[in-house]
Amino acid sequence: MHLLPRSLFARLALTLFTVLLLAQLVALGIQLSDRAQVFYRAIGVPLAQQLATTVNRLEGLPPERRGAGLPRFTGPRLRLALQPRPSLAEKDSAGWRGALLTRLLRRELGETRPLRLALSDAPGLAAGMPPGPGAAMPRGPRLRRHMAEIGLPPERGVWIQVEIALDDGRWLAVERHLPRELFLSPLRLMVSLSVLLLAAIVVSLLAVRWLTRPLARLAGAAERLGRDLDQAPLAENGPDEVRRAVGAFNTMQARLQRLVNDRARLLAAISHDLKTPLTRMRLRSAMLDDTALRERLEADVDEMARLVETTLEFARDATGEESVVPLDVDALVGSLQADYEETGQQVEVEGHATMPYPGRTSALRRALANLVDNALAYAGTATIEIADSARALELRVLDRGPGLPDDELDRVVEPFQRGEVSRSRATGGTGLGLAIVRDITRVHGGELALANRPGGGLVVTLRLPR
Amino acid sequence: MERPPLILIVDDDPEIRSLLGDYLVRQGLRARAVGDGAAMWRELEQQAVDLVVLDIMLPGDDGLELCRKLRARSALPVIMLTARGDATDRIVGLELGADDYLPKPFDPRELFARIRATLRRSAGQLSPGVVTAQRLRFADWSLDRVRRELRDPQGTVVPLSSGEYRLLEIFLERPNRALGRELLLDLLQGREATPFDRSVDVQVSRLRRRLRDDPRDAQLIKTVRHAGYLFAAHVESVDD
Repeated sequence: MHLLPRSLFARLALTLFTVLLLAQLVALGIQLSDRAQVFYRAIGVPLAQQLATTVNRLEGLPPERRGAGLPRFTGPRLRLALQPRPSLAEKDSAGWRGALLTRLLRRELGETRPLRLALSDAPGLAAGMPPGPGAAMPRGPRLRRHMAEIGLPPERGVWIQVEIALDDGRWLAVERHLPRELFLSPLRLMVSLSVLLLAAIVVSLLAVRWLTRPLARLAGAAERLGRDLDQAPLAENGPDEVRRAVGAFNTMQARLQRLVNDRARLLAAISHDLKTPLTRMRLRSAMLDDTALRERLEADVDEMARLVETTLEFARDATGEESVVPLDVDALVGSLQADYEETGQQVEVEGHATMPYPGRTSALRRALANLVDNALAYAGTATIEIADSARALELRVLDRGPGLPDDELDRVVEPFQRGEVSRSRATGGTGLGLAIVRDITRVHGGELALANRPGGGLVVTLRLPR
Repeated sequence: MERPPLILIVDDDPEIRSLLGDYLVRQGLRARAVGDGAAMWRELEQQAVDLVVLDIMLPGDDGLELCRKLRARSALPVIMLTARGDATDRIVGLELGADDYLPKPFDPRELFARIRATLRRSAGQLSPGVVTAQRLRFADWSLDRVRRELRDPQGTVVPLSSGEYRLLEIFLERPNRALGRELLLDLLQGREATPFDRSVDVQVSRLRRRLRDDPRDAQLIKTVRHAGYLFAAHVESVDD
């Protein structure tokens, strides 16, 4: 099946093309056989009968009077002559028409009578063939001259030349003019059919595109759904089947929206209600005189506050309503580095961006901060690498910590998942940090990738297409 | 001896009211606390309040509404508190004229530091236009103070660290004046005392890098020999 093109458009187009081509070939065949029929009925049969009659009549005359009787049989397009021997080649090369005529003549004149036949562009089979009335100028000399004067070519045509052996040993030479139209090669027919075929193909391609466009839109919307759940519902138009699919898709999207919103509201409500008691706890602990107890309490409250904050953040859309702005990436990373430095933590920065990146400042900052926090927590050091190209901006956060078992690399990105005990217990965390980073990366149309570094440690890459 | 500033706390949670009041008194301020907007207006008529700490979630008029009404009648400094950490809340609050914003659960020390800084600013003799303006322009750069967004002449957003932002704001509020290192350090620490403050010089060189100001031939932040730094640009507010 892999020989078939993949897209519906291509398949439909291929099918239509094949069908049209077959139809045209059949039509061509019918046309050609019609022409043969016309030739057979309108030309072949009458000519054969006419010649048979002529031969019979001539042979009914005594041989010496046969020459004088010839003009009686000539007509406007028929010339006759008697000659002592044949001048045509034994084997004719007159194509299917010649073969057909030969067959018809043999039927009328008997299978054994010697017969030669040819088709020629010009008259003049036998010298001294007496022209019948108007034979040489079938349309009359006046018309002919007139045509020459106004620049038209003289009438052209094809002459069937037949030589038939008579019973006195002489040969009757017959020349019959046939209108040229009968002999036009099928080329013209094929050209006209091809034009027709081409037109049909163009029209059907347009039609197929018109039919498949709603499907393409549906596919595009489905693709975007992962990034933007709140995109406007698709217009339900197009053919019935497509319309039903679009309707189903819209319903699905609405359900997804409800689900996501419910979840977000739930998480937000819980987190929000935790804030008032947390504020009280902070105030109470600030007034404790026991310094050691106060610090421990404050650390607990801080951790809870962080948990609530990240949960809220995750519950909210990863970016909120933040708009996309052209962003100085070096300054983004540099200012983050400075913020860490202000709290006494060292973050290395390598590389530069080549041009502003259209992104969401706070969201990208949050993503990088989450990764740096992880690196600092698990490894104590963090390096941010900026690698920029025309196609994508890559932001990497590298550490020299213990890294992750390979089977956990994908898992830790899922919400509420954490690395193995060794990594998480000591350092806490909500299990949402990487999920938030992933959401932010996706909102920017990018991908998040985790990998262990050769020599130990973890590298997390945000690949953001430009 | 001068009386300590009076802080009016407006929060619907009684526990937070009393705890925060106690805390501020401990820090050497005077504090009164009320639970809604109506009580706030009564209190403002009876007392010479120096600063209002205003929660956004309130019964009746909410904090944003109260802030707007307060601004309409006086320049009394306001610090907004909210339980929603949304950037929109912050932006709306600051656009309505709040002087600062703090999300719950806040660190009481942080709130105290901001109260001090806000009081100092409002008491300072700085040109009020620049101090309260939401958007400033200087040398084709612009700073949106509500969104904390610096844009270069091409319109590219140049993110700043909180230290860089503070320093830039300090410079913009005092353009074309030589500012000594000690004054700068003092102003920098006014808002958020951080245990790892680098020297002013480090902060200045960082900010120069963000502003793409070549330190060997500085155009914006000039070094004044023996005196400190000077922000050499015309600063104008572009509020509409």
